[in-house]
Amino acid sequence: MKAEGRLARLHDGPIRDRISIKRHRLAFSLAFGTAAVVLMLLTALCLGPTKIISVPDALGALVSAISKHGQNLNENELLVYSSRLPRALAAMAVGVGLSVAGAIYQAIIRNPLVDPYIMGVSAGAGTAAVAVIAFEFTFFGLFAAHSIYLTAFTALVGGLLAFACTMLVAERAGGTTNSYVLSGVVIGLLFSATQTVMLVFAGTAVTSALQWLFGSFSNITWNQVWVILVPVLALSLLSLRWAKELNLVLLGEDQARQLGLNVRRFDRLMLILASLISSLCVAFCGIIGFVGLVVPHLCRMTLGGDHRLVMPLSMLLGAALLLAADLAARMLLPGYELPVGAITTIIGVPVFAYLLVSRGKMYEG
Amino acid sequence: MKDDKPLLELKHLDKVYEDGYHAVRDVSYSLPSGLLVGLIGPNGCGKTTMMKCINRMHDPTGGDVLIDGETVLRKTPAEVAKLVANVPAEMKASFGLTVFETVMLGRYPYLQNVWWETHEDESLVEDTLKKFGVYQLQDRPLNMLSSGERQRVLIAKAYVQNPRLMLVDEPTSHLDMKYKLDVMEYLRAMVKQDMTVLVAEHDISLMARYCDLCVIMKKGSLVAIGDPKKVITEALISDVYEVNASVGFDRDGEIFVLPKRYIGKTQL
Repeated sequence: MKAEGRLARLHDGPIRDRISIKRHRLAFSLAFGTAAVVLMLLTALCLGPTKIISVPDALGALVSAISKHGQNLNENELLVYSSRLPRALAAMAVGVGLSVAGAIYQAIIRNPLVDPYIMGVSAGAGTAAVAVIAFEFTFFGLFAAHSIYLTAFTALVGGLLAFACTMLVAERAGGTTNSYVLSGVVIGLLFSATQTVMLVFAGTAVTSALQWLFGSFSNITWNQVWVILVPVLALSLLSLRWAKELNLVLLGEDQARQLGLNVRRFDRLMLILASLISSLCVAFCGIIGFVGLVVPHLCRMTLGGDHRLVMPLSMLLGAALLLAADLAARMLLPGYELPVGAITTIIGVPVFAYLLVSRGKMYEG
Repeated sequence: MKDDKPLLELKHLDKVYEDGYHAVRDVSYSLPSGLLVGLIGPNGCGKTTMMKCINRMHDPTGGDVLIDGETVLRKTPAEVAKLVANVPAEMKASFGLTVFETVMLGRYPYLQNVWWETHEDESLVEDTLKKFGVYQLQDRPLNMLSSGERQRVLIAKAYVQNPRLMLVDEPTSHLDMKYKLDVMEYLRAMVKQDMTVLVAEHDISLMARYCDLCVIMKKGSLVAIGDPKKVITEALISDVYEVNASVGFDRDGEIFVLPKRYIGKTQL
């Protein structure tokens, strides 16, 4: 109260209530985002290369499949409940995770060109995954060969390992944001080179290795959905807690610090959180590019820089975008599964280019 | 002014960097509340380091910093942020943060555990934007402003932080003479509250004109502290800056410093 008492009001005119405006914007964008996700989710349940099911039929099949606890399902129920729904939920979770991770990295590193793989996560995960796919390493019989869990587990470990190397180098180099970016790039290159060498020696296994690298949701079943959905959503929602601090670091390290934030600790915490999220996303579904780069920007360009608006909308928009991309990957060429990462890039680039040209001025300086 | 307890007290402050550079040497002084204080000295004399020790950006290697009689060394960054605000010489905000959003971030020390700011915060920010003449710019991205406008926004941000002590580092270094005076007027106006403003600045004439008190440093040590009209002399300038200068008074009795010739060892 001392604060307000000390300042004389200069004007007593009507106050434009910015907090309410932001609240309304948040409510509106949450409603819009949720509607987009629900719409895409419904479409994903109804459409597929094998059969197109009407909305009431799809929902009916879903309800009856759930009431039967997934046992003795008929054709529609099998399609909707066992194949399309888990796949859609995984795409949703990965969309949420990659967008949140991208938004966090961009804020912490204060660079709009940063994506969730900047800390070497994708290269590490890819290298580890190629190693087990191409050379049938099973951790001494701990996993069955070619099991999706084996690839996922190794990829998760590989991603986190690359991230740990990046952090180690960056901290030694002074722990500035620039040192994070540079060491991330360098460590990423090292892992990519290793991966290339392994691909050369992979022989016939190179096709399945590449399939993993391009990213796909085609092999997702209910068992894996939980492993992705629960931790990714939990960590993403947790990160919302720091939305205001993410605004603060946009002012630069010194200013954030003098406003009372322990910047070093905060940066480290957020980088670990974001890398954990992106490693989990990569582990089951491979490397899906562009979502984590473009979705936070779409949100910033429409709502401004405040992370309290950007983060929640990024989650919903990321989910909707990846659902759409996965749908396109399934539907575009009947009989083929296109790599979803290529689809996201093909959809994303023109949208991003348009926004950059029309609204890019806000990034100047 | 009204109470005689010093607002800021430095006791034998010492700072040696990890590379062995001794930036601040045994500096002791105290400042009362409600003053505009100029911090003068050549580049590299330890002004910025001293300011960074005051608001805990750096940990001093010796001595103590007290604000209102309490040491800042045992306070958390959040507690220090409520006592000391810092206005940088230049700052950019990433991702198109607007003037309003930037100034509102100055309220962060008071709002750490809430999601939205309150209406009180909002009207405080609006009043401050009006006070510093940047109200009409509030929806512009910070990076699109001119240097002079941006400097006023940064001062506004520090003002809503509601500190006891404001540290201002070279506020006029990028500005023309009109904006220099403008910024000094705003700093001067702020001092009427129970807040002391410590300004590091190279323009000695400007400092002498606006400041109640001058702190003069050389090579990390305190050289003089006192009324600028008494402290700033030709002898002092030649000692501190190794420069021959004319120090005179204009028709209004304001002091001015005119540098004439470098008398130290030439470094070229």
